Amino acid sequence: MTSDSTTELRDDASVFEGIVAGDAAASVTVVAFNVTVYAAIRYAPEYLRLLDNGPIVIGLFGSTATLLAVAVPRLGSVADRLGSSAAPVVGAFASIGVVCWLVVPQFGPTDGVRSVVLMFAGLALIESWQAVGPKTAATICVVPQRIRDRVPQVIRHARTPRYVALLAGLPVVIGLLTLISPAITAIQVVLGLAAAIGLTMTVLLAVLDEDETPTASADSTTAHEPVDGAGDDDTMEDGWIATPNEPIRSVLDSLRSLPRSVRQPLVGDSLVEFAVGMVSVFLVITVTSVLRVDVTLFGQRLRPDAFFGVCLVAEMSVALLATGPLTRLANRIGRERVVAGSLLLAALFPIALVSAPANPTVVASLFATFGLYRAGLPTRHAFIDAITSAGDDASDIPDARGRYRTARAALRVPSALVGGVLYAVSPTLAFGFATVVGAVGVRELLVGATRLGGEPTISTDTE
Amino acid sequence: MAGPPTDRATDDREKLRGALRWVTTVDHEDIGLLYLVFGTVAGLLGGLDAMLLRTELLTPSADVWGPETYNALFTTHGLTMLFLFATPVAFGLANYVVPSLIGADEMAFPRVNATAFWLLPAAFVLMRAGILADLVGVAGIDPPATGWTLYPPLSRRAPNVDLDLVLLGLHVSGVSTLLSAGNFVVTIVAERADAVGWHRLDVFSWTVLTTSGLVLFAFPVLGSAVVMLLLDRNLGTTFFVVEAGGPILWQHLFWFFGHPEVYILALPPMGLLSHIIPKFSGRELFGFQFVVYSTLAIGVLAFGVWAHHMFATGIDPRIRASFMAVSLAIALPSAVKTFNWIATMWGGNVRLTAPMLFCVGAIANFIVGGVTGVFLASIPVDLLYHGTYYVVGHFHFVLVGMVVFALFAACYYWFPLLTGRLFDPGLARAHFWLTAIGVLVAFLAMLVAGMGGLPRRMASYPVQFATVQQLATLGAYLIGFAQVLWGWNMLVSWRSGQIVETADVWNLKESGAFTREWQRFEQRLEGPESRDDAAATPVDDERA
Repeated sequence: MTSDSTTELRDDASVFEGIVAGDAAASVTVVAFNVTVYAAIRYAPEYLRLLDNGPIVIGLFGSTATLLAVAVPRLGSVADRLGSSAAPVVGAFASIGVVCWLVVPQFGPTDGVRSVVLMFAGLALIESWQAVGPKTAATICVVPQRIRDRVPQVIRHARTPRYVALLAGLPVVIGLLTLISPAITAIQVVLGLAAAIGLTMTVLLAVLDEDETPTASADSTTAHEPVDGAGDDDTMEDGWIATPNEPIRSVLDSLRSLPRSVRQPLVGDSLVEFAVGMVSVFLVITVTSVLRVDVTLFGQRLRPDAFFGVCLVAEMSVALLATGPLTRLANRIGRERVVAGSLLLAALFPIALVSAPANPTVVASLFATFGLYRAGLPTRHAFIDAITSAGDDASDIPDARGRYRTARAALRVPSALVGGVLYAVSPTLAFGFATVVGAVGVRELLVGATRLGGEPTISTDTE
Repeated sequence: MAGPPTDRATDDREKLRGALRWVTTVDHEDIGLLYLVFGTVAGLLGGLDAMLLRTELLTPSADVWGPETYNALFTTHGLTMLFLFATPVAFGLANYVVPSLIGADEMAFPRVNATAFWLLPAAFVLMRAGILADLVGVAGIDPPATGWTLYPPLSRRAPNVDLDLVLLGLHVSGVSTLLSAGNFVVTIVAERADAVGWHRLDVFSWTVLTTSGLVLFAFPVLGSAVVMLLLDRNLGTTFFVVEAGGPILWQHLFWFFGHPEVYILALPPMGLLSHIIPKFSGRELFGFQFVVYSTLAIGVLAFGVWAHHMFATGIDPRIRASFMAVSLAIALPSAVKTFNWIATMWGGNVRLTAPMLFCVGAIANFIVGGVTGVFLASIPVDLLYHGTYYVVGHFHFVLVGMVVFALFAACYYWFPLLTGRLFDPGLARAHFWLTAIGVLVAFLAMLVAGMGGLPRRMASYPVQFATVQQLATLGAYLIGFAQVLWGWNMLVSWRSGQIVETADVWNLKESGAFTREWQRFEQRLEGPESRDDAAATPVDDERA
């Protein structure tokens, strides 16, 4: 016997057939890392605030996150070249990014610049996973083919398993935030766990990948189709769906050439998206520093930051549960009505939140309502796809759709910074302005949709 | 001397069914498994303590759990890992394989064996009573916060009733260990098969024998010291008051036990390394005799080094010097082992299977842990590093880096033997790499923190140590997650792993290293009809 006998045993398929313990463990860590990174990013603004940073820095942070989410996937060719070692490399980057965030408080409020630089460096590293990760998980070889075959839905981040994973993971985060005080320490513990999970995932992917046969890696670029709703996060936009290397300017030019009836709903859609972008990084600090809601649940007092976790759970639950009914509703009363409704809710959410009484039930209900916006995303995507493909010559269709998404993602980049500047003046101003922008967007959409169809179009297909 | 090996299934003693079988068993393999399961559960709880206390150290201020909880955590972590995890797991493995290795069909005293095991759950409950009481809401019994060394005057004066329970638990676990050790000595001396003369005794059995000798001399001292402390606490005796023996008396008694205890923990794993490394190097153990002699030398020298734990107490410098000399000397037999392991692999046909990876990792970690120990043995260095994280890093490199690694090597090596199934090798490799990285990150960070002068056992620390402490915590988390993977692998593979059909899962026959425990396994797999032939097969030299 000349080599690793355990590997030989493994190659002899009959011997180890059916053993998937390693694959299952890898899938679980990938999902767990995504959940902790999601939580880390949602809480990052609060972390920045606790480190004595103002709204402008937080806004800039949000804009940078969006920018990276748009830009990083353009490095897809790098990931391609890395091939199957992309997984450990990107995983290690992201874990180191989380470690950067973890160590920030030592650099302290006395030296604001260094800590902010470290936060942004960490963000860039984390985004390499956040943006490249889910994409390549589905398309390139971040997750070994064998594992993807085993648990494809979870790895590809289709909506339902993704929300289920988040709903399973968030209570743990809430628990930590409740048990541990002060808040900054609690967030550090979450970050510490996230980094360790990330490194665990990195090692698992690196080691398990050794077993993979070359042929299995080779066909890993098959599933290039974007999964609907995969990019519906605040920071993980669906910019990656766009054609990778087209300059934004030419994208805008080609969009200008679309007929007005098509352009108007797109403008409306983008405006609402911009409005949501203005407020989304500030949601957590609104709950913790403006509303300051704390609540006692099951005999445990939840600090405002832990309560924000409860709000996220409310939002996710609705997003998870309402998707199906909303799609059915769209079939009954027409897509544009459902889309307009969900966008209207999104537009009204900021002003409602900032002016809400500090009552936990009210605030959680508002987040739950905002969940309807997320639940409406598949319908919205279908609607956008339908109008970008209608009334245009067939060859240009996928391009128009892709270009629009790129443009919308690009438009969204400055939104958080704009929100931050306004928030620095007054939170009410920022959130109120967001509602105004969103309302204008809804109006544009409704006008355009009316001009498009006159009558509501009852869709025959759901996709 | 015992007769030929018998098939366990056709043993004269009939086993009961279900749970009763496990409660009433006197079979050495069953008891070995019980020890292993018990030790694993204790180890996971002790590991959980470690995760929690490392979480406390994630931030410079004592704000995650608070200082009292932190003190309780490091105390129960130490007690659990040393008394309820490491020794039981080593004894469990020894119980399972030593009788097969020496050609005996059973331990010398099966009922004593069972008694020794069943004392351990009682010790477990007593030693972790504070946490259990917290869980079920009994007031007044708090986890101990003295550190595992239980130094008076704190341990003498602390009003916490739980300390008495811990002392009783230590006593019970000591009795258990003594019973087991006596059993091993008699078994190895008197129950060997005719073919197994002293010159043919395998290296693992040698270390178990030496360890048992150490136990027989060290644990009675612990037992006595513990009773003295109990009397001091409850009946007003004055063993450890300043006017009598003083706290220094406790330290002498405790470390007269405590340092041999280190070798009690380390020798069986060293034996495992010596046993497993040749199997995956395609060679015999290099310098077999010298490895055995070094084991015996450690066994003797172990009793002459205890005061190096007390260099900073102000004892007579001449006494200190002599203990320094012996402490430095004990590095020699340890180095003999290390060099022999390396020489065994040198030029060999090395197969990096999961057990071998852990063996190689163990050697690497033992070198770091051992060399830092040599520095600590030197009085001037020790005076600087005493009570710092340097010490913590040093002994964790040995205890986790070498001892636990060797136990994992044995776990993977004998997993097919114990369960009749195969484990997932990919997951095992991931477990190895994660644990190896975690150990390096966590314990190197501790060495660095210690060199910076950071005292151990403090819930809060100056902010300039925050980054290094966070690194240590990250490393600890990695070790923790790795063990989750290990547990998952073990559970899934035990339940649904591929069933072993031929006993030579590691291809040992090729290099003539198919030792007795596997031969007995083969007989069991092949069934009773082939037993007579197999029993008549001459046994290979155990040194292979």
